[in-house]
Amino acid sequence: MPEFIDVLPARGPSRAWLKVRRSRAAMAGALLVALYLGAAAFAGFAKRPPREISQDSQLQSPGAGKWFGTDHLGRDMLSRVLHGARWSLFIGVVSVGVALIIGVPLGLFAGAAGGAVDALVMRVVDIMLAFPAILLAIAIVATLGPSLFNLMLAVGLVNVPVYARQVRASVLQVRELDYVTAARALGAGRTRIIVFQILPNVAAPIVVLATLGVGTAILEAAGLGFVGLGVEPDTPEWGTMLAQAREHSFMQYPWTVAGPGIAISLAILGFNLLGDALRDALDPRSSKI
Amino acid sequence: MRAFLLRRFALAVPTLLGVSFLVFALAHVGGDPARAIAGEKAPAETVERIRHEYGLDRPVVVQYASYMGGLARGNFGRSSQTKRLVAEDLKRHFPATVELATAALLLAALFGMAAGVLAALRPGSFVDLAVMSLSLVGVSIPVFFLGMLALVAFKGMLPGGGRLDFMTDFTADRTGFVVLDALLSSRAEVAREALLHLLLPACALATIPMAVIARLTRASMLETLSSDYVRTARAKGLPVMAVALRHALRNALIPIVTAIGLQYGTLLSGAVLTETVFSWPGIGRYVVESIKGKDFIAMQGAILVIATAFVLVNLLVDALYGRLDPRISHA
Repeated sequence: MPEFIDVLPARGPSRAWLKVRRSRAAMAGALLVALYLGAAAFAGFAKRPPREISQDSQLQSPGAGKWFGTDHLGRDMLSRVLHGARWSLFIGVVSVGVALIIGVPLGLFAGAAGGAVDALVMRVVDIMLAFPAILLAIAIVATLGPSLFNLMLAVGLVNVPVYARQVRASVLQVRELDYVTAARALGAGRTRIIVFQILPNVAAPIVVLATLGVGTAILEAAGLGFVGLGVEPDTPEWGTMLAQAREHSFMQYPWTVAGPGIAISLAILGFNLLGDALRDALDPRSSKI
Repeated sequence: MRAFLLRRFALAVPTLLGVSFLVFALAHVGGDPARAIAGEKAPAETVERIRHEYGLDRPVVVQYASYMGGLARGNFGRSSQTKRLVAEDLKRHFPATVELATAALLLAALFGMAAGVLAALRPGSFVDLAVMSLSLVGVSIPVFFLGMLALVAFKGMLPGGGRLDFMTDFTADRTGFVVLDALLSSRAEVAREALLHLLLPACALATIPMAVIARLTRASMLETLSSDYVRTARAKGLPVMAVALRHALRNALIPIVTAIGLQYGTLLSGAVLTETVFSWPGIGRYVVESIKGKDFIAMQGAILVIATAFVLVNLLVDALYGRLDPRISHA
């Protein structure tokens, strides 16, 4: 491959990176996400296991040794909130993965094939978008039965249209460009063009969407957990913890709500800040540096 | 315009059909409806009898056709949990959701636009920074957490759930909207009580759309504020606020109104979580309850109604968009 083709795209990311580095919002977001990842990584160091029930320390308010207090079964809230980071990260990343694995090929396929195939795929996408996301996810989990796997599957499926649409739009933009024509003239087959020419060039918006998407997936999964369609009730998952707090007079024991609630909010705030900044940086229309 | 509207409605029909088929398929893949109707402990013969009685042993396509035939006549089937007709249940629960969503939208539009205008008037100022940061926090706090926080914060000051106090003897049987019905039957004290009950859930539900509207208003206002006609108006000596509201806001309104409309569709459905927090007897909670009771017929009907409302609201917003902006013609 001639060198000048490589030079142009290589400058893009570094410029984008500079922009991200200069944005205070992006740095705040990165810090929050780092904090969240840290909580997930070091949850194992919590003094008490998240599921350990203690008969004589139920609903204790936060204090020395129990910074976040205890819940109605005497479980340590700090440990549960930290382990919750692990669960929500796992659920968020796997869900986005599911959405990407289905959505990206679907969008590539629709955009590259065009015609009736494209029309059909887009109609299905429209139908899925006709449902409010959380409602469709609830319906899917209700159908398949509540479990960790089905929760991630449902949240992933609901987000398929987001990626399929974006990829298709990018493909339509890219496929008439000169380098695609050139590749075609060189005799590259359709699959080869899609995988080696089109896919790398539609990747940037997907990265942004996926970053923001982890936040959305965490939120949706917590929502499902909150209505009781999430993981097993003793799992330290934030939405499920809030649901249990609601059932056990949280009005008297607000710390049972505070821990998991603040944790979800900060995590989502982090992903929102970071995703927004990435979008600004990668969007060529806002290329003021 | 009319041709455009008709065409848009025509396009929505296949979408709605697809929606109905998807919901139907979900409800039938998921568990055994006959078993759900009969109950967990019913003997196998009873389940088989019910399966035959309800026509659940026929091919799925035939069942779908007969379900759609029923829908055309307003028959959503019978709920296995409440034992009432699903259509009756929906008639009871849907207005509660509409009431909540409307209240939330009014709050969101009013405060969101006000905040956006204030922020746009002094970009970079403390007010701007506060509005932008708050809106970012607003979109990040899950509505169910915010709802619980509000309940803790206003404990004893504001009612904590439901549409009216437990003891209040009043049924909203005219329009289904408690506030409206109370006023219609001139019971001001009931209307006041209903409004108080609305306050917390509506505020909680309003945060996300409020944040979205504030950010959009700010962006749109910044654009119009830097235009020539605004400079001219200021040069004429008109006061800042007059120019901001009468010249800039008016022209900034088109994208804002669109966003508000789209948020309404989201609110109608987003109420699922809010309704759970505040024990609000709306359609979202009905969906959750019917799922917990494995009542797939009720779930199917309720989801169908919400999705249809969502599609239709978005369609209307689309149509309204053309009305507001004379530059867009659908001819």
